[in-house]
Amino acid sequence: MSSFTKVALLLAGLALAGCDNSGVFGLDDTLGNDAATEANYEQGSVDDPTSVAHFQQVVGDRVLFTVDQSDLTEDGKLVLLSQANWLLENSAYNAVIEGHADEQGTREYNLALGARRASAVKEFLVSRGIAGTRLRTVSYGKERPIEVCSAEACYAQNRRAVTILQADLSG
Amino acid sequence: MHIGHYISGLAHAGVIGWALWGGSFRDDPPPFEVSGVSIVTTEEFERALAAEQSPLTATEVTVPVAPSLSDAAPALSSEADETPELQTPDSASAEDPDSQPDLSDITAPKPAEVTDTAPTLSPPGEEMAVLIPRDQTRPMVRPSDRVAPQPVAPPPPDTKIDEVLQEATKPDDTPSDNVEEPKEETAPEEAATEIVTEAKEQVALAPKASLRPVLRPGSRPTPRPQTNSGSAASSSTDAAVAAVLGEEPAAPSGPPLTQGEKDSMRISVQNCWVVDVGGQSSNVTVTVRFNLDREGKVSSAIELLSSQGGDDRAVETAYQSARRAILRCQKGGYKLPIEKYDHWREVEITFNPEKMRLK
Amino acid sequence: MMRLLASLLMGVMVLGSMAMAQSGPLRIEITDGVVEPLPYAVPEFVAESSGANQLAADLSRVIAEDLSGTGLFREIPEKAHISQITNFSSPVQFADWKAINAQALITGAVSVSGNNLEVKFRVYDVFAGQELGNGLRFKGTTDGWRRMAHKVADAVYSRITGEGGYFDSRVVFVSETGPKNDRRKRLAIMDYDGAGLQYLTDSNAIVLAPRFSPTGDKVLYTSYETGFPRVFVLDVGNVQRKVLQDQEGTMSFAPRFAPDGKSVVMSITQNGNTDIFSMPINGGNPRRLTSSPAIDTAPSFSPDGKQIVFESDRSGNQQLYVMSANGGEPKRISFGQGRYGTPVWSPRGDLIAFTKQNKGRFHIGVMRADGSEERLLTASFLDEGPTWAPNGRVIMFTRETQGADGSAALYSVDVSGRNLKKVRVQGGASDPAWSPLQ
Repeated sequence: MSSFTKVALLLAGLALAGCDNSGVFGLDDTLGNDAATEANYEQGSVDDPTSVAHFQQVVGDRVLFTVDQSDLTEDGKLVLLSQANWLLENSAYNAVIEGHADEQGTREYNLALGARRASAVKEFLVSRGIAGTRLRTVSYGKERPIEVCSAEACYAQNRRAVTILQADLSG
Repeated sequence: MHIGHYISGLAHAGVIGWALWGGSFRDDPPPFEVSGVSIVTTEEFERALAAEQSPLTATEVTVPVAPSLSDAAPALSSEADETPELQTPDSASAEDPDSQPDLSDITAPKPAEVTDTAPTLSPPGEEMAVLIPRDQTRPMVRPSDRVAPQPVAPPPPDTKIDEVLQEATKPDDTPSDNVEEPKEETAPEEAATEIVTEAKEQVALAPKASLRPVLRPGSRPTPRPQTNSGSAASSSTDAAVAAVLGEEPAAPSGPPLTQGEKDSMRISVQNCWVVDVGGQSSNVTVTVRFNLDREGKVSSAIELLSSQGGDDRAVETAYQSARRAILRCQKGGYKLPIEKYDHWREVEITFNPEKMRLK
Repeated sequence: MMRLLASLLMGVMVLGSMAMAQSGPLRIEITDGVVEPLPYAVPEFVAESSGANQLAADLSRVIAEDLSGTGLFREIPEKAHISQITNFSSPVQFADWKAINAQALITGAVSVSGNNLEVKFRVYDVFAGQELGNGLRFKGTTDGWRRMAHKVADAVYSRITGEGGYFDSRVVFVSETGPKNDRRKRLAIMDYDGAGLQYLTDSNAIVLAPRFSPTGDKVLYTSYETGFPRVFVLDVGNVQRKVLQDQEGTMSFAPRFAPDGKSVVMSITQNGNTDIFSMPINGGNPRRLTSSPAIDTAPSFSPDGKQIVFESDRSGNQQLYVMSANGGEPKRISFGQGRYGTPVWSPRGDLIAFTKQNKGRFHIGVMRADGSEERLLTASFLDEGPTWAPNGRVIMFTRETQGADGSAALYSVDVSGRNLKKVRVQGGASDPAWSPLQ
């Protein structure tokens, strides 16, 4: 649960700092951007709101799922809203959405389950105005856990969909 | 940028991989593809290896070498004239799962983990926690390499393993008409009454107490007065039993065998009957017949009278297993009362593995 | 108790009728037997040429390991033997073998000339005092001595059990190295007993769940080589590989050959939905076999090629279903508690092996093809992915251990649930698939 809280807090932070004028917090954002510009951050660093690092760490590149589910949680939807806004702002990036499962499941089923999760994220982003052509999905099933313990604390982190940015070569 | 890396990485990996392992993937055709296999008859072996003395019919035939193993069958058939062949590999394909005996009168295994249990043990609960129960109130089936009709606790270390339980003979135990030599104490090999798969073992875990001692009513030849040998039956059957037993046979063959005597024979054989429960032969019931001499030894060929279920190979295997059981357990001869010889001069035994299959 | 009485009464009746008939055979029915390994002796094969001693010893050992490894046979150690076999053609002293309770006796002889190896053997039923089948002779090369030993063991096994053997077979699997969160996987192939390991791919891309073709010369598998999971087919002989299905925006996995080797079934995922498709092995368009919004995966053909068993969560969780090989309405066959996945039809056709998850544990189990007589053979933190030995007698599967240091290994178990053991493989290993008999 604490991870959700963290994500939510991060999200709140980024909403203030990272969104553009079209965002709900447009006014604050402008201020934030100005502040950032003045605070001469290093380009590509976390503080650079157009950087991949910023997307990963401030916007939040992943959403988590409950056991066996591919429905988005409320927390997850908030993260994805920010992702959508970021992608709209930074149209030079495409994304591959990776779906993952925890180790409690057969290999084949987990591949399919990861695909469902990735697809759920993609659909949400598309519904928020991101062109479907910018998004691809892939499932790793249980092949790429980030946490290795065999307990719910780790499983919860592994049941995830991660949005990986890719520079759009064509654009 | 990333795509460029991927392409480059893949290409490098491919080249390196080829350099490292490419050479080891040469398609070496297995040597057996060209190797010869031939059937060598007894005669040919004798002749080839002990040319000067050939006890069997020597036929001047060179040993044919078939082109490959898979051609073994054709090679066999071509030699069929001189080689009575037991192997009929072709029949193996004639599987017929539908012809397996109906199992409807057996309790179907529960879909949950826990399946059937030994008759003398109470069944483990259906959905058992994996934890060891604090106090062991349920008798557990102890996993054993051997599964036998009666559970057998591990024998004392000194005991010689034998097919039958044999207590060191004490004078008192010996029936007066059946004097035995004092014998070394033997006991059957440790056995469980069911196959304890890992799935079941998880439930049982290590039992704290050993199994109950062997309980086998009528397992030992307990001579009883013939007139009331049916007394174990309930009162409702008493009349029938008495009527049957009351028939005094006029023949010199003596009275019929008691149930105890028959049981003793049955148990002797079943303790040597090894059932391959995972095999096709466990779908086959066979009935065999043979003669016994006055010492209780098999004095004729053991013939297959009839069989039910399975294909030819399965029947043959089931028959061989039955034959081994009878031959192995005769030891010095089956212990049957000599005065009733006419009643056991000829024996028919049906081996029905149906019950074993589900253990 | 009632049964005991009934049988007692019946016995008495039979006895009675016999008495009245004056004579007639003693009739006994035996329904209880023992399940135990059959003791056998395999005295070291006779070396019939100079230089054959080592091979004779090695061959005898591999044959004994094959037989004893089944759990159906138990070797009587050589030091207990009374008789020695010094001449392959001398008559066997059955009494000496009976005395040590050897029920089967295997004798053999080995001769070597150059690279050529010749092995002959006989099998005896000791208590019947007769040979089982006739002597056989194998010829090959000294390099292939292990396969020759397996062939001898297969023949012995077959003569005693009446069933086909499986020792001269191979296993393709995924070899694993590295920690759990950075696991490297590559395809490997070995003899069924772990000997002769060879790698078929490198470990640059994740590879999963290889499956042999019916002739054993090709392997289907899933690889992330393109960045997305895709079904590949690989030629075992020259390790050439090609992607089978690579439609943009999809992924494909869980492939399996049809028994005729001409077509392949697999799962294809599109827009997050996974269904089962069939396609020719030489390429062409995949043909849809299922169309539910559920996850339909892990298809496996019946040996006659007419039906497909697969898993689906259309009922809410993973269960097993059987449908026609052409698709159509599937029939659910699993109804127990828990979830059922990765069904595999036995080569004999009678059983279906599966992975079951229940109450936080994994099991490998078998059921009849109609779903009846379910039996669980194993239980652990994580067992999955059963594969059948070519004779349908043994099941191999992946067992993964728990925790941060968890690793995968291959295990095998007899279809009766006996003889559970680890397969000797260097390093981690998962997703085994058993070849047909070679």
